[in-house]
Amino acid sequence: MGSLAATRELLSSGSLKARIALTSIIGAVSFAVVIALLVMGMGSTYWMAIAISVTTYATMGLGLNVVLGYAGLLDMGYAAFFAIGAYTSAILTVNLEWNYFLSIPIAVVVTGLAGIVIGYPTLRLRPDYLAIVTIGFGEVVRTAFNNWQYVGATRGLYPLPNPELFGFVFDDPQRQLILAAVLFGIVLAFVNRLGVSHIGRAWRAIRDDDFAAEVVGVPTLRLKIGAYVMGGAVGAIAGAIFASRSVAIDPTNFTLFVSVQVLMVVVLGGLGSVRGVLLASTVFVVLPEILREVQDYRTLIFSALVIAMVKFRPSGLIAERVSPDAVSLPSLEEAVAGRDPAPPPAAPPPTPGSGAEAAPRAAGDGALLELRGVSQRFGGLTALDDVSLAIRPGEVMGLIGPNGAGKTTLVNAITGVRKPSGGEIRLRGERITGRRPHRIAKAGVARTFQAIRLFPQLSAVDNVITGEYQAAHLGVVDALLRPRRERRHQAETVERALALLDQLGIADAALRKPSELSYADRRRIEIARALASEPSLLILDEPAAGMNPSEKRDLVATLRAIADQGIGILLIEHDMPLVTRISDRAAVLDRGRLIAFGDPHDVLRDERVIDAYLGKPHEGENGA
Amino acid sequence: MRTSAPTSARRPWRALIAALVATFALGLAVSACGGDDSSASGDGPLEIGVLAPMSGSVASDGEDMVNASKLAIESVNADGGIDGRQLELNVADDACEAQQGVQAAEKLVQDEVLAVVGGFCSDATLPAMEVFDRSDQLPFVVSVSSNPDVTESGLENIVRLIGRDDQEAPADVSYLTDVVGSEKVAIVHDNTEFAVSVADNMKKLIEEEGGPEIVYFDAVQPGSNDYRSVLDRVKREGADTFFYTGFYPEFGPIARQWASLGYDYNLIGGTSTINASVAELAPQAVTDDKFSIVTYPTALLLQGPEAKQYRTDYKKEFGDEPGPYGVFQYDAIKTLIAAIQEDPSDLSHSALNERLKAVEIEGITGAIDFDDKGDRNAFPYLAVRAGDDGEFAPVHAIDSDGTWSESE
Amino acid sequence: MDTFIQVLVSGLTVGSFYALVALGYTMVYGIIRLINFAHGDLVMVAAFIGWFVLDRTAVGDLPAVPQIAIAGTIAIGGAVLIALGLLRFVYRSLIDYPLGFMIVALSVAFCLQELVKLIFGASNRAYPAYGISTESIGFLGVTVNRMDLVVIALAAVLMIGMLWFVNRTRTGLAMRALAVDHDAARLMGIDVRALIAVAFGVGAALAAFTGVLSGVYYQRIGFEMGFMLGMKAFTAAVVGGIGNVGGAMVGGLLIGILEAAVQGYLSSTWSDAFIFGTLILVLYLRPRGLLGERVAEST
Repeated sequence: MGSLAATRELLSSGSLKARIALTSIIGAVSFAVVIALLVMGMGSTYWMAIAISVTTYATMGLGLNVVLGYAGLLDMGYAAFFAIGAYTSAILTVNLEWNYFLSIPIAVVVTGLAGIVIGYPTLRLRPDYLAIVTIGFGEVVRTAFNNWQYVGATRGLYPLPNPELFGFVFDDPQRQLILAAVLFGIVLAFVNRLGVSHIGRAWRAIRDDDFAAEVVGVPTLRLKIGAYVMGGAVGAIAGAIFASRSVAIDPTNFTLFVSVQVLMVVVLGGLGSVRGVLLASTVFVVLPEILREVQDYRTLIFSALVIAMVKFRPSGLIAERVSPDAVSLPSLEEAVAGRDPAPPPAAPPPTPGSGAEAAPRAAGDGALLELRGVSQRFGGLTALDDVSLAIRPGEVMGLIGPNGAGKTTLVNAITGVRKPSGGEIRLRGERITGRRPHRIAKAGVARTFQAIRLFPQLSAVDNVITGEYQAAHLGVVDALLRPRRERRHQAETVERALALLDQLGIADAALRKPSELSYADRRRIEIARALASEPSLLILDEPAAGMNPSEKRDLVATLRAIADQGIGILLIEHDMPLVTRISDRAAVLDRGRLIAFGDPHDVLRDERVIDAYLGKPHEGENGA
Repeated sequence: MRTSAPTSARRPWRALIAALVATFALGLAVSACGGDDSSASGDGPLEIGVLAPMSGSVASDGEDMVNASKLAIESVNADGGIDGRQLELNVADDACEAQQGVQAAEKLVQDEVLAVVGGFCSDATLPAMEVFDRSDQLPFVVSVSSNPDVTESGLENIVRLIGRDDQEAPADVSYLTDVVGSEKVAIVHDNTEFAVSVADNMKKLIEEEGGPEIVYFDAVQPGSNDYRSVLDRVKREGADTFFYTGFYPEFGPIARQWASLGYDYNLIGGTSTINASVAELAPQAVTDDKFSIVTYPTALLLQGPEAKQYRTDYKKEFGDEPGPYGVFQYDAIKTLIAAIQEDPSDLSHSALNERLKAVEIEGITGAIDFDDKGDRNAFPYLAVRAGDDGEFAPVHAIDSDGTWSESE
Repeated sequence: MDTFIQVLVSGLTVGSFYALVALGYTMVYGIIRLINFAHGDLVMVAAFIGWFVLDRTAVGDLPAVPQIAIAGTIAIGGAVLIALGLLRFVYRSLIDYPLGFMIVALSVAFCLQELVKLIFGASNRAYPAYGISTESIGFLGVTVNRMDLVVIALAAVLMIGMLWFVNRTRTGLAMRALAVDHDAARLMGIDVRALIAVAFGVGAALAAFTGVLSGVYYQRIGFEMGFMLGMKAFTAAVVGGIGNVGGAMVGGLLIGILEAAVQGYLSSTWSDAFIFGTLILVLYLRPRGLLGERVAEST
């Protein structure tokens, strides 16, 4: 396989081993402390002060990177988390006289809760509204602190005590820098772990196309909130760093401008790129210091840089390392090396959703999918009118009809994209009407889209793996605290994904991005992604569009093999010969109504169907 | 939603570390190339550090402070400097912000300035103070920052030229009772630290020692243009006086709208409202008998010959009218110069700190001498109103035991 | 009752300004479905251009009405040029990259502020005092500025003009079609690029008019005046129904009155928070806004 050589080449670069090392807390902290020691070696408290500022911005940058870089949420009020974290720490150390180090975890928890409270109602909004609303929340948080007497309102809290641990006081720049470095290192490790985990991959899928992610089975709302909360927790630690070295804290430290500066750091560094954030925060703080003349123009220069960066180099100073990422690769190598060159005939096939029998075609009894009286109305327009049909396990059903008949609308109703106005949909007897798409996917329904919707920034194999999210049985805790278990499990998912790609004949393209591949290959990846969730029902929306005859033959064979495993297939198609070849039964929609149902050949000869396609005499023609 | 374009070539972590180290090395080299002779000894120029906000929303005040500093050292330099050594300024931008304040302070320490003069926002001044104290108590002559914590901190290296927030409140309250005869007052601030501090102090004072009844205590939103709702509200609450403790950009429109609405309560501004723009924006308001501003003696109001000279010189050299706070920076530099001149051969930190506390000179802003904490002893507030010429002039003044009397 | 009238008058005046700016937002948003964060700062830039013409050139020596008219025209011209320049060189390639567009628009907003600060200095500037700004007349038992009525009237005239433009001219029709479906509009022969330019241009002209009017009325201008104004205007556009021209007007007036009411009856401290709160409420309870959205359905 061509992928082997590429894999070897990537693995041999030291960067990969370094990246894995930096998911270890010890590794990351050592990295940060080494740099801190280098700075201290310069012997100047001036540079140590600068280094602490850099660390604060870098920490915030890492946090915003989780929210914006990984999950694609344009949060423009990030300073709110910074504020809550710093103030919590300050309240505990000044008003309640707790030890600083105890205040850190409390600050993280409080900020996390704030993230849930703010995020839950907000994160469903469109990205542009989200931006405005987050600005609003940033201002509201700041105003609240500005008016709260307990924290000194506008005056703030002064003086903040120096952190102290068993008599060791962090009261000079050297010690404060080491403390900041340690905190930063811890953050770095956790952020890296998230980045290479299954959650990181799911986030990137959401960022690329959150609609497709949701339909594929990724619980997007929950993950968005998770990103927001974890990004917020990082902001809290940045606030703690700020509180550790500051003599005073007041609301003017947390203005909108601060949020914008962190945004600039993340954009300049490169969305999703940890290294980029580190470099950008360094440049951001150090450049105006070195070139004192530009201090006055700092905002102007960095704003202009952001514009230039987005336009000409959107990936940022140091581009994000796109998949395959560090975790997949070693597993990839094992998986790839362990296979022999010949396509394995006994590759473990994806099993149908639990509960369904692996029944031979057409012998399945009991409906797999049942639609009863499904209707869909948009204002005055009736898109679906009382549609009822049933699909058996292992059956291939063709869904045909002229353009605008409502085929995709029907699919959207089944997959939860749009709750039908009336009627009922059952999967294996269980009502799924109106559920959220990712839960329907979890129940066993997978689909492809008319216009292929792969995640453009993810490799083929990673695209497929996102389909397995639901089956992963991994959680946040694993991503954060059990990197080895993560890696092991990811090895298994990679194996399964490769097998699927193999089944569809495109294992070669495993490491390539969709933009590099042909239309037919992308189609196949999409099907593999759909299969990855182990569905009992597979819905394909015009899979043969744009394929040549030989590709169509392959497609037929593939679909037959899938159906043979007991998976039901609902196939929207315009290619009539294909439909007759592969379908057991066909359903015809016209203007929202089911006008014919049954054996494909009979259906296609039905006068009503012909009328629907060709229209009455002397009207414009409409063809398959 | 689409994301970015294809990634570029990957760079190993090594390059990142190299970049970081290079940046710091470069910075070190650059700073090492700066002057390395300490101002405290030798024959080189005497380097005075200036800590001011040169960027951000109060950049114009920072600029004003730097201009004032330049004027202050000019005449001394023209006369040959001190002991043959010329005075030089080293300006550090604190951006009115804590982290930058620390960095600016550290930079001045690293540049081994003789002393630091400045400090506008307490956000930056307080952290800077701590840096200077840590650096062997580098003398810090605070010019404009009025936060009481500056001198309450107990540090030995601080003297301060401007009045404290909590010195203003007693003057304001006594003005209200003695001069205005107010019985029901509305106290309004703008939610910024200084204004809130003055307002709170006034309230506390009235509660403890009596004064007019506070019928309305709230804030306006700086930056909004229309204050009529608030002005109306104050009338509804039955106040006979509207006292504003915020800043001049808002006070101009407030005064203007007050005049146009024709309400008959008094309108009084606190020390931060004094600015020519107020007279410009509200010409009818500022000449009204019911209008006045309680203020520091600023550049505009100072009647003495030096003050007039200052204004003329400033205008000639910098093309604009001086800002309100620059005079304090001017006097602060003059204070430092006086301390230096006493014994130019001993300019160590401890010696300078001792001498600064003992300085007794006449500044543009009045008599300059300091108490134990480093605050000025008698701070001369004025109450002003505009004359027919549109310029503010004192109508009442407070004397050293705190009683108001008419001026001229 | 007096207070109520006062609040109403203040609110309508301020609201007129918000409405005019909201119009610019909504027209652009209706077509490209992206928030142009820099729109509010265009108001500010135009205000400064106007100030410069009035204060630093010979135009200031003319009588009041001609000098304002000339300054206004120059400011409008300048703002339109800037807006079209930004569209052509900065925004256009980012229209299908929403995240990038918004980040860039935000950066442009800051660039404009900083450039103005650089060129004109950081302090606030004052427009010349025109007597009518402070002349008051009795109205329903309350003292009202003559200028208030002028502002409200002018704004009303412009808004009616915009309504006519959008509903009765071919260009307006084309813009509404574009708001619903880009591809269909293109297929019908509509020049999408030109129309986007028209939307930007008209929006900029309205913003410039608002800037100069604001300078004449309030006299005070500063480099920070644009951003918050833009946020509130955007809130107004959403409350009224984004993409909907009539909605922008209704939204603007409502937000203005809300602001005045909060300041008059409650406390100024929270007026901004109230406005944001309204935005959030509307987004949750009635995301289409009061008069309904006019934007294409998303997929």
